[in-house]
Amino acid sequence: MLNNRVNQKSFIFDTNKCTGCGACILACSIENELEFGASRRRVFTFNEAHYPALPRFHLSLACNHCLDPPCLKYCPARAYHKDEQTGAVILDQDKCIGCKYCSWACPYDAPQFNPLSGLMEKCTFCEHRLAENIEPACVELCPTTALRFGDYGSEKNSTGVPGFTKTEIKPAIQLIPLQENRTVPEFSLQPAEAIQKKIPQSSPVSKIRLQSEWSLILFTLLTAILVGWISAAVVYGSRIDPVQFAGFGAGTLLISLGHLGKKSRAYRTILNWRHSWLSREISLFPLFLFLSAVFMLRIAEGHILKSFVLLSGVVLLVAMDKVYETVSFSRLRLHSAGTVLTGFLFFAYFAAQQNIFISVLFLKLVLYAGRKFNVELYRSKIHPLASVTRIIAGFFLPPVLFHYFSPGSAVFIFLFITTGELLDRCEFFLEMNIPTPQNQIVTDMLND
Amino acid sequence: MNDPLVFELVAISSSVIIFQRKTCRRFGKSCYNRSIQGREKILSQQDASEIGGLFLSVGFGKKLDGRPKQMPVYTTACPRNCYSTCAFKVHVENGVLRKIDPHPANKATPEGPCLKGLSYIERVYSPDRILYPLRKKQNSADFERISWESALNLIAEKITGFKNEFGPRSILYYTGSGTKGLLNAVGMNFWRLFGGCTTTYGDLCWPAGLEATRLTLGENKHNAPWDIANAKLIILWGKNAAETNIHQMLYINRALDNGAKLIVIDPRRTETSERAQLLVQPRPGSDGALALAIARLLIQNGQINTDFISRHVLGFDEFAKMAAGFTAEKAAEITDVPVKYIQRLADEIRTIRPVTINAGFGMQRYTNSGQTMRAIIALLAITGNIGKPGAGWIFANLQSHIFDAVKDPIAFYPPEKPDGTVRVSISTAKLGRDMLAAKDPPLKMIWVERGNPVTQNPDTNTILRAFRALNFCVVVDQFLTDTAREADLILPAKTMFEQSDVISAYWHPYIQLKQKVIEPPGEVRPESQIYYLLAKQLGFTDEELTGKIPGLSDADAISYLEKELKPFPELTLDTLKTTPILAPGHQEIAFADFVFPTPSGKIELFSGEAQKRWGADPLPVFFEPAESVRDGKNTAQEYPLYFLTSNTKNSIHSQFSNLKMIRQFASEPSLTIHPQDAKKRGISGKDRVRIFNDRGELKIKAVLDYGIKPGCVSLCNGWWISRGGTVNFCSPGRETDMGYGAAFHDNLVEVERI
Repeated sequence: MLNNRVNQKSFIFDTNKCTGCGACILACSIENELEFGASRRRVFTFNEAHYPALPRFHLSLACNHCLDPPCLKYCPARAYHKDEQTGAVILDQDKCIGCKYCSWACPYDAPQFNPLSGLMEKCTFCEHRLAENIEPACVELCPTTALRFGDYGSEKNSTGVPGFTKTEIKPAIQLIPLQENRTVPEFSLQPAEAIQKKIPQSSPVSKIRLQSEWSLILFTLLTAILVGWISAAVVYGSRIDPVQFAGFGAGTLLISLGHLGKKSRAYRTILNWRHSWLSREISLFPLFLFLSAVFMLRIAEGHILKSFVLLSGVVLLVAMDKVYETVSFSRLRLHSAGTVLTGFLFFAYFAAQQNIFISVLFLKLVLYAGRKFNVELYRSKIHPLASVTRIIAGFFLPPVLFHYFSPGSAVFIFLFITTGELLDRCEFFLEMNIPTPQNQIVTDMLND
Repeated sequence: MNDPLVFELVAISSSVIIFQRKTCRRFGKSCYNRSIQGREKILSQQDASEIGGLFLSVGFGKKLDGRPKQMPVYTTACPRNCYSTCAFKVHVENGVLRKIDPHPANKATPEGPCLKGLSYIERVYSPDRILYPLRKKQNSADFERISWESALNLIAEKITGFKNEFGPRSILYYTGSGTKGLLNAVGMNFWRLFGGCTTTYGDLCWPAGLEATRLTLGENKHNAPWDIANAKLIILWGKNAAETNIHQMLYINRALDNGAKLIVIDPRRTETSERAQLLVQPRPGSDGALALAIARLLIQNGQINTDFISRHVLGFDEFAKMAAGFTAEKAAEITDVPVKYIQRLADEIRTIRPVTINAGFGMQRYTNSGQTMRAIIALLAITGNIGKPGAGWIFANLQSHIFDAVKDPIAFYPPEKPDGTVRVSISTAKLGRDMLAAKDPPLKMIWVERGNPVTQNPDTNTILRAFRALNFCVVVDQFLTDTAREADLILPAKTMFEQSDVISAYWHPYIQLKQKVIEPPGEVRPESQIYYLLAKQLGFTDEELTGKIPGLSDADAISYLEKELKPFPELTLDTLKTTPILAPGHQEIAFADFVFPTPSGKIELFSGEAQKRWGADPLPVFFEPAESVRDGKNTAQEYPLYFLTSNTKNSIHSQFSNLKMIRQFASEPSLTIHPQDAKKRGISGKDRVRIFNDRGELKIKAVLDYGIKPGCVSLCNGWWISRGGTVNFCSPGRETDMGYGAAFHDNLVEVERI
């Protein structure tokens, strides 16, 4: 990704000099004519509660204009480019579709969604100022010179700083850690033993909010149902009504649109099929619907078509799971809320295959329990009510009902497993370990 | 599969779509509302034609591609009551402030203003700004817009009535420190012309320290701000420069880079102490004892500069004898600073040269604090750390106060012989009580300008009573502050960009011009114009106003300033329009000539004047302040917590905290409390608490902090009552031991969970 000709510039931030005043935040706001109170730069504080054993310092972060920027790489709409003169990672507002995928991909939380325009926004290195040979506004207006601007690699003292996520994406920022004489002061008051320990004031918070991600949760769940549904028809010849399937498919597609800030540019979603699983997912979805239609309308027949229908469905679900795997930095590969498994569950349901159904449920139960019992490993959170409902509705009631299978209970089985899957998916979204500076600070305070 | 199931599914999916649309619309709309409210309101509230359609033509919030090439850029300076008094450049486009740039010509603030300075871009255009005269509706807390004509008629009728019935001194003219400038004097010129008024003596901010310095060194001045980079030992004693004087950090950092040591003495662990090597946390109000114990150690071990003392210090022997009583052990008991650290402080002062001690303003707001400050200055005097680069006492640098006939703190004091026109009888520190007690004549009216006494003077409840006992109240302000809410008539005040004025500073030695760069919005009129119109209304002729109250044009204000600048040929408005200028006669290293304008011509550790003027001990003795947990009085048992009401980077007293740009950093007041103290009271983080004593209470949320000294709680001052409550509900209306300052911090409280 890195072009050798790029003359990479970078912010240089000195933790010794920053007092956390916030002038840089306002400077950005004024220069870029943002709403009062909005900014593309934020200041994060390490050790807010003044734990005696820890230093307190600030991190002023905007975009690090990475050498290998994941926002650029994974943007489905190819709205990002890297400026050759400065190395700035630039988001083209005319190409952005507002899908927020870049904000998930960025461990520094640099791209921010603007609900007013429906587009993402981020730091541009003040490229309009650089063009006139003036430093970015935040740098120019830092009253203590803690924030500077220069060639990447120019600063000898720059190493990692606690609270700054270490990644492979080569962030072009130079962070100067606290010098020995400026870490924790010696205190004349010796703190009591009990308060020597370090407890972060807040626990890690997912930057994903269910309120804003409803459409994605539903889209992925409904897609899994569609794939399971058609697969049952393909493999076991279960009855399927093309009109209902098409209606359902169209509904799913509409829901997926709901997630885009700029719906009129939805077509751009598929442009980055070479790098972005999101593009692949969105490209495969109509293909899957098309092949399903061909199958249902009996335009063509035969094993080859059937194989293609199945293949497109499975690949679609795999792509869907990959979307989340790529950005979440999570250790979760196979997990109970994965859409491939969900698709398989619905396949067994629609095909009325009790043995397969129960086997898949059992596998999911084991995976779910594993995730919940390894809170530390997966950073999952316990939502007792959700978990109990998920287990009873999703794992126990369906097999019981299946056992006494009758036409009337089918609706209930469907509702129960859908509820269970929906809850699991919601929990998975909340547990997605997308690093943010705030969360990194909490982690590093505990490990320091 | 059977059909009913599929229908069920389709039904579910369609209802989901409907739900999804609804949520989108709801969130979308609320987000939209939040973000545009501010700017739309400006358009609707201000008559666009009256302000020249500025906003419409500029299109605030437009993208950058249409950026005009060259905006006019003006040199200006921030006139707030703040150490830094920054120079900066402001870009103006089509009559609207657009951007702020640093002005490197002010060596003290070369990197640009702080966040508050940047927030002027919002402040000037805030939808909450008062743009017209407003009169309080009858039997209501609301105000209605009235014309200037009616406003002036109303004032003229009221003040003439009060003058005729009770005499002019039934009117209290109250000014705060809201903005600096030579034109501020116009107000008192008017009241003298009118026939007199009553006014205040003393000051909220810093008189005890000023007076202590004046008594000891003879004059309030210190080395230029950048000189601290030459210090090898910096002691910030009760000063949180990182928040209240951020520009000093530039030079403190430079000193640290050159190997200097930084020691912070503060009951709180602050942003500044974070970069220090040692944080000493004494009990509030006990700093004098700490200083005397250090002095004793230095003297006893012969680690003093006897040559300097014999040439420049008066009263050393008496001082040494008095200090001999303060053993480290005794001081440790008084101050809560362990013996080891008292010795450590003495060692550092002894072994490191040069030493700069910079005292903050908070420490001198106790009833014992004049003496405290004198004891601290003594440490520098006996070690010869005065009059040299990198050494000295930093408190206030009044070298740029060249326009004052009488300098602070003397200017705060009531005149020795009253002039019969202006009655200087109300103590600023005891404003509420003295207003209520005024007799012959009693007060009937108050005129408040540049101030917000309801939240910023001590003892808010008494002040509110005093305001409500008056007949008429005029407040000139930019925003509907808690004081403005008490007014019968509010007059819209200018911002710093709407009238030119010349300002001095009290940390750096520059004279600066804040230029008029935009027209006042709405019907805003600078105060000088208000007085001019009022004087005309009362029938004064232009001849009578000449030299006292400038006319309405910009040229009139400019010629007023030129008259003031006349004695200083090096200061011309033309030069000041491009750059700050060092005050004539400025001494970069204060007292480098070892001239101390005290009665003896020496540094006076023994001050006869202290005794004569204040009835104080001529030596800087230590005694407990009026409210102390150590004096065994009932107050201390009932109210065992020191209430520290410090300043924050997010406001200058009560200014700026109402802006969105600033509220993103602090949206509501919160009480900082040590987990030990919180636990005793069953308080956990984010609980709401009641802070109270006999004087009043306020209810806010608590935040646990391991850095504050147990036994102290802290909340920054400046919060509006309408935004959660002022700290001064609890503070006492009490004067400091010297200088008629306000002893805000003699303030014991209790805290409970609610």
